[in-house]
Amino acid sequence: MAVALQNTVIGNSNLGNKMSDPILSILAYGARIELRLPAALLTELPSPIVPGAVIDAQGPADAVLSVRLNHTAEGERLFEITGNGMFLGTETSLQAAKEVVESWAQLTVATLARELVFVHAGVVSWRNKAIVMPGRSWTGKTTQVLALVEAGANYYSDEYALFDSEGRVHPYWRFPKLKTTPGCNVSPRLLEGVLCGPPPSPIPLGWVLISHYEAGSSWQPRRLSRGETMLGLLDNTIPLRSRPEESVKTLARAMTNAQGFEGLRGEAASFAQEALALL
Amino acid sequence: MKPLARKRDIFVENLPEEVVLYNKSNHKVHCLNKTAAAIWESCDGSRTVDELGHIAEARLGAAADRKVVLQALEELEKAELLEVGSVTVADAGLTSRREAVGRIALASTALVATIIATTPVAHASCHDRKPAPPPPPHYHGRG
Repeated sequence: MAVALQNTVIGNSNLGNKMSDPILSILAYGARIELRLPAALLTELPSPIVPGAVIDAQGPADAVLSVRLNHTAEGERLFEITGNGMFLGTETSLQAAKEVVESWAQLTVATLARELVFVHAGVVSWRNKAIVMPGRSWTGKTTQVLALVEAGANYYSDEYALFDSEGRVHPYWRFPKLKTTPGCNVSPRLLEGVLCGPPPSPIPLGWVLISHYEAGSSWQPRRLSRGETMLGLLDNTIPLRSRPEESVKTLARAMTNAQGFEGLRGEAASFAQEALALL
Repeated sequence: MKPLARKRDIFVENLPEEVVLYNKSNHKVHCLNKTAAAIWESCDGSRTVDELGHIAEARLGAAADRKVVLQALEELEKAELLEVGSVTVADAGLTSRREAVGRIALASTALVATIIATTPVAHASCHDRKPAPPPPPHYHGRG
């Protein structure tokens, strides 16, 4: 999924480097970010690097990521990564550097987005309502989402639930990133055709499922109060500290006709069947 | 003891049965059930525990005895939702949390649930490995 260079490079940096690095300026959900990257890295990035982003250099950037390519004395490549002027670290492989850049761009947009509230969650639609499964990285969101899609739900996101001011849930239209986990037998390939099409429309929130994996468990959740469900969402709301009032109000509105559940779950496939049967 | 609710720097969102509070000074988010919410809203610094119990009863339409009020005040105090010094639950005759919880008739779960708002970095995707430590001193730039 390499991107065509001519489609993304809109300028060159003037930072005093011996070689000017290309600049990629994008606008997504009201947040404008600038990436100053070696061409070798830029061509490896997915397009768009953030779902829904457009190339845009009108106005100052809200955040800037710079990657500078150096080499060790032994000739090994070093990608030195700086975010908003602060040294973040180095990577020695192109793949790792690409992942850091992509992750930084997506998280930065999620933090700075002005139009929507981003909640770290997997999302599918079921009966024209959103099932949102909040959770941190490595908690099985993508696996659950894919299992639910395999069981008949429609894909919306494996990373963020995007809530608008009316409380509706928007898709985050990217290819799912499935981490390698033992026993996982679902594949993002089942979405290859789906993701070629346009993203689906925003829908009302129907259910919030907060689950904790325990081998051999079956999904027998307890119903949560509206406030408890909101805490589960707020615990995974990216801009909560920077925009607390907007975040709380938006999620309260979204919860108007939604129901939350919390419980243990077993393997993804059985969880998906059990969850959909319950809803 | 005449507790006073702390309302400075606190954003309040009323739900049909509960209240969600965001404390901007410590970035804690609280969910108060209807019992705790009724008591917290009534803590104006002039009311005694018994008076708070009467108000809670009137609002909730159910009995709210002294133990329930004290339990709520203890949880509100721990959550830093009462002005410092306006309440000292330990001196008010609450023998133990366990005893109080056992007597709570109105609250089916915790009266006050709390989370701490995370910073965005807590949500960084770990498949995108964290950047490696700073480079060793022997490298040289070729930029």
